[in-house]
Amino acid sequence: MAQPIQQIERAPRDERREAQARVEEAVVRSADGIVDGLGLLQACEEKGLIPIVRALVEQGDAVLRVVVEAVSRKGVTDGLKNLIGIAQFLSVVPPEDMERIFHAVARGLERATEQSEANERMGVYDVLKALRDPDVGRSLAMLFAFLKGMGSGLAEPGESAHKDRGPEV
Amino acid sequence: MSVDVKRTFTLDGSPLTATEGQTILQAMLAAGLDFPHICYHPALGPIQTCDTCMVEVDGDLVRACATPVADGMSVRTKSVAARYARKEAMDRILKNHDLYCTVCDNNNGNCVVHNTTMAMDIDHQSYPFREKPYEVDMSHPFYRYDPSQCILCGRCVEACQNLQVSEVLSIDWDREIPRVIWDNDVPINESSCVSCGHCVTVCPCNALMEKSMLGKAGFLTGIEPEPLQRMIDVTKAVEPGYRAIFAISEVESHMRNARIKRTKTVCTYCGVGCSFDIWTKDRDILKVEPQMEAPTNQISTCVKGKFGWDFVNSPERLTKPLLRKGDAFHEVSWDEALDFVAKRLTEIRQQYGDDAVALISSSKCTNEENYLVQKLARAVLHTNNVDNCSRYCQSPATEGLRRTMGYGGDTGSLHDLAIADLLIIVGANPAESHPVFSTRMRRAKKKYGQKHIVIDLREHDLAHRADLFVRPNPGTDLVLISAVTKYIIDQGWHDDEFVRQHVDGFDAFVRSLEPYTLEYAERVTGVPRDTLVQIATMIHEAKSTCICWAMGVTQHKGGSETSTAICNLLLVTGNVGRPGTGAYPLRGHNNVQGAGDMGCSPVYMPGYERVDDPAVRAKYETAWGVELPTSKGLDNHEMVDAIHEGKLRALIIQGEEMALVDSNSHYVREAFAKLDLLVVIDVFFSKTAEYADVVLAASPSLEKEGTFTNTERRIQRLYQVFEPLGDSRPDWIILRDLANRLGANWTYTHPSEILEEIASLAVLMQGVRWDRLEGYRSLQWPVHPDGTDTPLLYTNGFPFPNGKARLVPAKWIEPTAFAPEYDLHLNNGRMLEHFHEGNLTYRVHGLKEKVPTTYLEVSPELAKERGIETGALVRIISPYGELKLPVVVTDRVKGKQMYLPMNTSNDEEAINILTSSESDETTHTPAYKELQVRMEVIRPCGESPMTRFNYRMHKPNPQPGVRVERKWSRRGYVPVTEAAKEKARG
Repeated sequence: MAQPIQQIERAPRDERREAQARVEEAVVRSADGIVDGLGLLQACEEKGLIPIVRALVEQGDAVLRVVVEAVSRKGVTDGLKNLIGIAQFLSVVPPEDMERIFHAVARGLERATEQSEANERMGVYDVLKALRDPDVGRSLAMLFAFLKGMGSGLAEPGESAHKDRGPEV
Repeated sequence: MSVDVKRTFTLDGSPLTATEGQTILQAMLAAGLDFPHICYHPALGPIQTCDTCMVEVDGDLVRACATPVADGMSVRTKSVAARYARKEAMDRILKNHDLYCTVCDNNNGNCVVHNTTMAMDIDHQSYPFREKPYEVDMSHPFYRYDPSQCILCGRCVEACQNLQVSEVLSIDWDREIPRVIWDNDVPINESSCVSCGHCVTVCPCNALMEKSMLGKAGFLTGIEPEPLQRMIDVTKAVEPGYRAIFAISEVESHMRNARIKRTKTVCTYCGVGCSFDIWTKDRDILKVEPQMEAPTNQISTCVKGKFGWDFVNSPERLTKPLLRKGDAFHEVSWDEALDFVAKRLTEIRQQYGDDAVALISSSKCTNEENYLVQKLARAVLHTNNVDNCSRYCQSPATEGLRRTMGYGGDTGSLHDLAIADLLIIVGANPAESHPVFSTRMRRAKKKYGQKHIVIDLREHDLAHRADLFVRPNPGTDLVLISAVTKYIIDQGWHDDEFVRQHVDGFDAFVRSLEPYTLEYAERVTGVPRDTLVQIATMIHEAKSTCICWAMGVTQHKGGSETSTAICNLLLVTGNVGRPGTGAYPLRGHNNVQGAGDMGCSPVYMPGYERVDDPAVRAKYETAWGVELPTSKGLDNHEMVDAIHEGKLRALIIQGEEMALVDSNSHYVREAFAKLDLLVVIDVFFSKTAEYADVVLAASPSLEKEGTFTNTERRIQRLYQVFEPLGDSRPDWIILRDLANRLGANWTYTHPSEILEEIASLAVLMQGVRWDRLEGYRSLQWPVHPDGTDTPLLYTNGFPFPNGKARLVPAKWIEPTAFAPEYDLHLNNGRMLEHFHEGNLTYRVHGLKEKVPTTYLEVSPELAKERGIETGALVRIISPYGELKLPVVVTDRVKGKQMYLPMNTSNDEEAINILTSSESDETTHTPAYKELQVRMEVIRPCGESPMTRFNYRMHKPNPQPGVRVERKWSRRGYVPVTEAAKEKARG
């Protein structure tokens, strides 16, 4: 004979005991990792890393705000952008060409140094004579080709400068 | 068959074949080729809004998604013009979508916009991103819309208009900057949106997102909005191109896999059997993500399946067994609880005999658990007193089908319902009770012109849309169906050849129809004879007809008889055993079919093999190594009587809220109070549990493995998402441990072992194997030993000795009579947002916000007569009890008929306080639908019990689809092909 009842006496939860049990179980399951991890922790502590990381994490939101604030200033974003631009520039130059040009520039420097040590003046005729030298001619040809390429690059509109905003959909 | 016709064409010079009707994109995808596309979705077809799939065909630029393959066609994807067109399309999309992937909650490897941008190797966009001048809509409890992220692909609109067919969403192309709107542009939460989630599921980006994902899915997405926005700005200011951004977001997306778990599960909210992935992070549910490979629902869900799972983490969950001690329940250990149950069961059996104990299994539990319940009853407790809740719903349908066709299940699949010419829906409300089935019905009607006849008291969603809506007098469906059948035969419209070859008993059946003339039917049903003729004519003219029915038919004294009449009609018209035909008794709960299949019934062993067949018993006695009981078992209904008679002393109820869901609640509860032992196995402390001696804390579907069988006879596996909460345990473990305390020595360590045992014994399930059900694979019984299953029944005859079906004369049983003072008819059923008595769904915050309580639907005529309006409070009185209910006046109901959704656990509002103990003559299913009451007005007006967040309050906005031609005719619109040509020229 059972009349309906709604009263439920919950066994008091021993949360401390439950937590201990979970930790114990985890310790048994991952003993190796824990021992290694403790080693790492000790090393970090000795190098003074722990207080820094702890402070960073504890103040996470505030730190993030400061960092984002600092980073989002125009000078910084431009700097970052330029850095990435330089990296991109370097990444588009074929390395073998770069090597040849560096090599040639080195030779040029070598000769230039010799020239400055000799401290000789060049007359107009000397210049005309030098223009007939095939080595000088090659350099000039390359320079003109470079100027031509750069000029055509300047004629292209920049990516951020597009006027066309496109249709709405 | 047209499907076999092949088309051969060349793609960038290589030959490729396509099937008839396939578009270029479909052929490419079918061949396993990757090609950009955003708005095309396999469940929705071509939408033609995004233009990212442009190709060149014989010199012209066309959309690959919408261009059918023709023989000899030459398709070039790599031509300069096609590439420019695709780039132009993508540029326009990126103008409408800010790429902040790394800090976006949708960056989970499946973002279509992200993946397409990356696959197209887009490094820069030509048009800068701009926000749209609209606020984010956060009003809905379950999802948000961010217009500024919306690319206007229209997938959501197409899904809403033509797959779910709730017709709420559209794109307003007439604005300067278009956006998706709800209804006539109202906040989402105050629209006619039924919250099915289709739009969110198909959204190719983060414009529509589950709120449960926001701030939770990513590593960086939980950051406060202000620094987050700054981070997005910095990233975008610094990033010189998208390749680098994508590299980082890819890494982050892979990292998310480490902590977001995706698990396939099967929904428990109705008999449709939707399956989907559920995404979790620890015990948080991030979202439900349906998959195209899901055999029944593909990407479809309803509000409960998509958003209704938070109950698993409810603080009210039972986490330890409870034992009644004095005036209170005390939490005890499993050993103490199970030892107590075993001891008491043994004492009661010794004192009163084996049949003083009974078990009721649960249609919410797995097949394996149901099998164990009946095995516990028969093999361990030595009684056939075992039943399940299909007794409350579809037993009469099973009876009707078994009598006439042989198998007690739907004859085909959802696919057949979708391809039928004509659907007849009798006493069923699929839009609210089987929501995903209803999507396919509405889609077939809207897109392919399927005809619908709805026979019902109440003008529900499908009735409202039907070609013919018929309202017969309550409880007279058998007369209506028999008269239509007779008229068809009288006209010579029956399928004579089918009947001669495949059906027995035609002559006797025709004689039994003699009384059912049109005149008689008109008199009894109140349906004009012209309408009856119209129904017959529509059946005659349709090439294929399916009939769906549910509780409106079965929950009557003549439920089995009416079900039989429906089967007879299908047989004489030859609407069985062919694609697009058949009988569909829509099962209400996820595993009603399985609970019956597993032998949780006093007369059947698993697979509907009869208990009184000595050969069957011998098979199980050998397998189980025990002697089986031969005494006749009790069904649910008889159990309650037997308790009152003092014969039944102990009852074990698994996951059923019998104190609310059995009819005539007062009588049932008085019975519970008389028991010597009541054991309740449940997830929550239910009303039934209040009467228990022991309550065993069970784990719901998300916390265990096993299989469910849906209404299509489809067996599907569910995978474990979470560990059981607290000390709760899956039912199969509880049952095993209890059986072993009673000396059973069961050694099951996993549900797969139980399934193998079932397959080795039940002929119907012979070929069922755990590994054949892996992932989204499924099997529809009967399953042959080689694993071949049967999506469509009776293609090779019927499972009777001569292979023929049987026409069984059905007799009309008049509905229960009430004294004249009970002058109003009270109907009851479900509402979309809640399940059953609501123990689960009222614990989901958003569902409760949408629909906080049940309410009484009263017709405008009756309201006027009684001087009440919406918000009135009335007392409803039957001979068995009384309720106090808030009123909603609506023309869904007519005249003196009222309607009360059954979804409440409040005793002041629960329908079964009023219902009688009358039942179906054959199966004892309670006649819930035969109820007359009277009304007393307590308060004539007041606050409406429906909040403005209830979709029923609002008006949808039907559209043919996304209406892309409106986009094309916008002023200033330039086709991508034109724009691309200009650019190609420089």
